[in-house]
Amino acid sequence: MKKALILLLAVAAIMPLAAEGAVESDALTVYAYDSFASDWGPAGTLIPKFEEETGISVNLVSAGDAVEMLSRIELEGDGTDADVVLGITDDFAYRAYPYLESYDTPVAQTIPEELRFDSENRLIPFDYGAFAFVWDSECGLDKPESLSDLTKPEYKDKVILIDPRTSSVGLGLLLWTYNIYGDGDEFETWWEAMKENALTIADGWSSAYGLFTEGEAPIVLSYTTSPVYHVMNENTTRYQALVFPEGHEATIEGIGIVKGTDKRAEAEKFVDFILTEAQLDIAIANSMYPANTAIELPDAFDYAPKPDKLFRSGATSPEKTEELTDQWLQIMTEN
Amino acid sequence: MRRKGNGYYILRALPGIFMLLILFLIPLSLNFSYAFKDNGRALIEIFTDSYTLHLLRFTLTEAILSALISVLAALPFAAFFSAYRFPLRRTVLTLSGLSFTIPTILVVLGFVIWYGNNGLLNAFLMKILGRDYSVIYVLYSFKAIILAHVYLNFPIAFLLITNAWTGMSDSQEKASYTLGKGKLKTFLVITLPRLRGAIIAAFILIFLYCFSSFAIILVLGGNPAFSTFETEIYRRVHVNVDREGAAALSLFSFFITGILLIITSRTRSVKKAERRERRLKKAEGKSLIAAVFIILMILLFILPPMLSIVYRAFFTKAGDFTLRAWEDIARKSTGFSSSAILAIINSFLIALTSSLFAVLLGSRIALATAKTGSRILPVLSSLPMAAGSVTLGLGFSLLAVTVEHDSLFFSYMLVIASHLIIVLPFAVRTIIPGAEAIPSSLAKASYTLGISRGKTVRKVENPLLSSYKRKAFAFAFALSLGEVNATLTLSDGHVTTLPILIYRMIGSYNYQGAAALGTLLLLEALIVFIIGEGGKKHAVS
Repeated sequence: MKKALILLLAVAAIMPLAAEGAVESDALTVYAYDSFASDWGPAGTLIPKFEEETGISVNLVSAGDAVEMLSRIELEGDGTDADVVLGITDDFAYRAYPYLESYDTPVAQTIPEELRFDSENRLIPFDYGAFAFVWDSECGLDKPESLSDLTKPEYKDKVILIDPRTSSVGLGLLLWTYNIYGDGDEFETWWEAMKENALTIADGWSSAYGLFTEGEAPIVLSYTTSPVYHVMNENTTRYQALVFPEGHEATIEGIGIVKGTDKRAEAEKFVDFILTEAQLDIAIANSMYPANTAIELPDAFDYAPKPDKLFRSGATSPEKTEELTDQWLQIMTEN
Repeated sequence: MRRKGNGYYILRALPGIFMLLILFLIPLSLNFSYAFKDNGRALIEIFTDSYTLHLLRFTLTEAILSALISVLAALPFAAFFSAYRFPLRRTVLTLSGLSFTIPTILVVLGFVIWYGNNGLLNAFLMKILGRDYSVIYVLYSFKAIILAHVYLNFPIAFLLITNAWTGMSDSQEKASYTLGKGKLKTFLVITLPRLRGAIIAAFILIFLYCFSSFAIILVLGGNPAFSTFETEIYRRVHVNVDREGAAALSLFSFFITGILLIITSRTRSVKKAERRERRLKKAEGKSLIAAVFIILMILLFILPPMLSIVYRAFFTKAGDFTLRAWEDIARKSTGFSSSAILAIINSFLIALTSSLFAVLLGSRIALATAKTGSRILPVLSSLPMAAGSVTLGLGFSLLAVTVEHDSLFFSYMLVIASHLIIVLPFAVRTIIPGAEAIPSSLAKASYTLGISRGKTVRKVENPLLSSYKRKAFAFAFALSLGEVNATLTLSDGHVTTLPILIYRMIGSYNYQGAAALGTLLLLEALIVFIIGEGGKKHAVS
């Protein structure tokens, strides 16, 4: 009997939470990845601000990570509730295009040409980042000056890599090395050397960066913007992003309006809002550079060096990506 | 073995069986529908690819090795714990269940903080030995995978075997001693065969757990050659977007674990009617010293990685004391503190609801299994476990994209249901040995006295199960508390539990915050364990 009582209490306790779940049907539905949509992500302050300024209420749907969100759009097809999708990266953009409408917003003029990966403006870039190796400047080793420096024997067991099969950051490095070394032997040589120098190959960015901050190895694959967090929150410049002359792989996040929406005007307002007022908050929360060049960033971003040369992940075809991943696995598992 | 009147027990178990079937068949059939698309093209590909064989070989090796070592290591400790009573005995048993609740990412971090090349253990050893380089290199190798798996699973084996052992009367062993048989011989001939059920149960549990291990293998193993089915499925879902291939692969792995399950279910333990549990001797003199030593060994194995997480919640990497993480959690302005409090409440309620249901339904299934000697029921109730996070997880994500829903209430229900199907098999497995230990003569005696079946269950059989139920509850609760994948995929991120918040904190570079939340998670689990264990002071375990 006692148990039944506890059960009842438990269910009763959940009930009020359920009441919040009701969705207003006239709201603008926005699909976004989890880290944007969570209460303490940028959405926590941005969405109320947008609602207050425009009087448009927003139904924000937290749709998993960027890839899961895309899958959802594909599966739902015409029946989707989404009016706007936020956070599709350039490498998967080709899959989203059939479901999106063009929007030539005047606001996008502040976005530099090299970031505009879609000539038809179905996806408009709102922020971007560049993959980079971050290193601990107090580790006593010489600073690696280039991608090929990393293969030197002195960095044996000093580098934490990430598996391209399970992480977009890991995949970023794979495409990065491909963009630099191309189809020749150099690609294979680089990875064979890195096999020796890698302390471990993590499943995702989170565990890799965790190992790094615990001091397990002084070099880790991450973003050029990673030092910003350490400057803003820990007041230290010990961790620095390495900018290599060969260039860096970029990842660009875009926002788009879903085809057949009956809230086109509201959707446009939302996109413009993300491309202007929301830029700073998003940049800080995501540790990314804002696409809008007119935005002034906090001083901490001085420690996020912008590479001169960027490769776009979206430029490599999905078939080539799969071939590279297989080749990578071959190199890393053979003895 | 069939006795008349077992229909009543089957009837009682029906709701549980029904839940099992529904909750298991939905994700499974979704998997099937994907795997068999285009005339099973994906399935054929899986079977003709040599890489599948490579995956299978490695997965089996690590899972069998992890399970074997965990069980073997647990035996001597279980032997001692079921022979003597001594101070802290219950505390150690309670603590050892805790490692189960920690989300994998924190286990990995706890391991790195403690065992890492630059970790606390190394720092300590370096100081003692006066060296300026790391003393032990255990991480980033195959050894590390096994160590982490044993760390997570030794407590399961230890708890299950101790539980079964203390529940057995020792009259047969005593008889054997009287006949002049030695201790070793008595153990091998008398005790071991009677423990077989519990040992096999523990072995299978651990095997299945390690079969679908993922982050530990990748991060601590440090070599992509160490790939399991789960890695490959993850890759197919997330990188190649090959749902058909992923579904085919998950069916294949389910097929293998299913076969293993059916084979092992045929070697069920011989049931022995036992009226009394053993009386534990008080540890004195030599055995008390042994007790101290054994407790120290267990604590030194279990506690450091967990305490490392607590340590990191208060100290920076450089070793400076700080309350920053806690201030972040307590600060009102960010919206984060409300998330943290909500997450604690959510985690607690979801775990409470799903584990109460699991014990309620599970104990009925266990009793029906024992009463009817059914072979199908235990296999049936283990199927979701055999499918593991691989098939279930994929099934749930397929479900999440198929079922459109906007209601938060529905999200909660989905999450609770998914947790229920994950923890129910554990509950059934934990309770079955208890149900089998109930002598059938007891019920018969009760009927002879004219007492109804319902009352016999309530007054005679259920009380005998209570210690097993409490154990099952604690297990189920711990499992649900640490669950991440199903929660995330099924709730669209609308239902935030503690481990999910931990992942998000880590995602925003905040390891200290994650460690602080990890501390809260451990605390929550500890409180429930103490409540669950503390029900009866005189219970045997």
